Amino acid sequence: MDTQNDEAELWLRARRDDGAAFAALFDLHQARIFRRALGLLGDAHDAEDTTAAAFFELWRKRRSVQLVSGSVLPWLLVTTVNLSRNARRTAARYRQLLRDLPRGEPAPSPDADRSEARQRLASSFGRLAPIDAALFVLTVLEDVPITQAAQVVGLKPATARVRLHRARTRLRTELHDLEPNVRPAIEGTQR
Amino acid sequence: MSTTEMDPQLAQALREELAAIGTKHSRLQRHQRRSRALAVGLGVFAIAGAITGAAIVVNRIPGSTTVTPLGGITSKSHTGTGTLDLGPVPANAGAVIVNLTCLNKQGTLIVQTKPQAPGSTGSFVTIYCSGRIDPVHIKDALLPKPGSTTITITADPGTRWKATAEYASSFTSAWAANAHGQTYGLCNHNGCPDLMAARIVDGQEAYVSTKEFAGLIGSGYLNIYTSDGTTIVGQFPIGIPNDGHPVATPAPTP
Repeated sequence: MDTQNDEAELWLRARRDDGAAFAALFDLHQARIFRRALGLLGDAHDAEDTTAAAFFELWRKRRSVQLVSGSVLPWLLVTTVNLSRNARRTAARYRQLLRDLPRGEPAPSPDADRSEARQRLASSFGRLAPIDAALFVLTVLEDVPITQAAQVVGLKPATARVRLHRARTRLRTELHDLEPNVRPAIEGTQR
Repeated sequence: MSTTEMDPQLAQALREELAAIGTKHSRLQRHQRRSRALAVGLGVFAIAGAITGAAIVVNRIPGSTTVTPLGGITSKSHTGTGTLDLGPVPANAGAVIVNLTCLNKQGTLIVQTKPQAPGSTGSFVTIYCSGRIDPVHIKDALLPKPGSTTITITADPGTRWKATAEYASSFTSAWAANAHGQTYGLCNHNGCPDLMAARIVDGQEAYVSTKEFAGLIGSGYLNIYTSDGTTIVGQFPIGIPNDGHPVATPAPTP
């Protein structure tokens, strides 16, 4: 079974306002999107709002969403990074909808050390250009090949490599005391 | 509950909200009606194209873009990523008109287009071949890079396509200004004027304040003005104002 083709097929249906297809895409990707939002924001409630907003944006911007290797995941991840940079404004856009959605008990907060590290990372992220932050998350944290990451943010691979290198150097400098382990990006194949 | 998973109750509710898209129960669609209503400003006046036509007459709203084909059509069929050589770029060319057809039902085709908003370095049109065989008309593809005469159609390996393309002049008219110094017209690659063209009321162009639009969060009403920015000719209901039954057309001014 070809998962990529299946997802591309789902996306074709979703673009035609097929709710079942959107629900299936939510099932495929919500866990990873939530974990990424939580990693960036450090607060479960904010991460939930951001996850919801990322999928609402997937619907709202369905005419311009770009598939990469047949998947909406890279687009969702970039959107999550961008939304996380201003989580409150994001939540405001969908305030009424989010307020009406039922929730269980509040989640316990992450431990203090990790929380501080996250806040530092979030703060450093906030100072990166949005495209650089997206490139960093896609390639370093999500293992998306750099050629695909470049495609989803609309850059040439060579330009993306340079910007990513600068972003990594900057984060490594700013967060040196946290001993970040920044792996090299995967190259992948140019499509 | 694990902190690395979403609250299951919320996840289920979100899933249901997404599953309701396309039905009358979709609150997401009602909520977004404001973007759709205001997208009329750009959507209604989107240039319906004809590669064979003469000058494409757009409309008289300030900030609109007129695209005129310059002739010399180039055609090509190809599999996978390929280029189209359009010859030297005429001095008055501002864009490329491309008609692109998928010849088999697999993969995607991507064409780079001009920036759609300020600060953007460019945009893309992506065509999903698995679902369509009808030609796609693109009237704002990027010109060849300086020193080049070719444009690139990026395709998945194995995706067969046919393209016709020609240079076109592209002219975006300036926004107009009213007596109060407010600019008005269509949103375009320069951004949005102070008053955005929203829809036509009784044959008259009507506008929404860009500032009021940006400032309204949640539900409510947006005033619709004439181009003077003060005469109110109606209101847009945004989201679900009071009664939970939004309407798509402007309500009369109370």
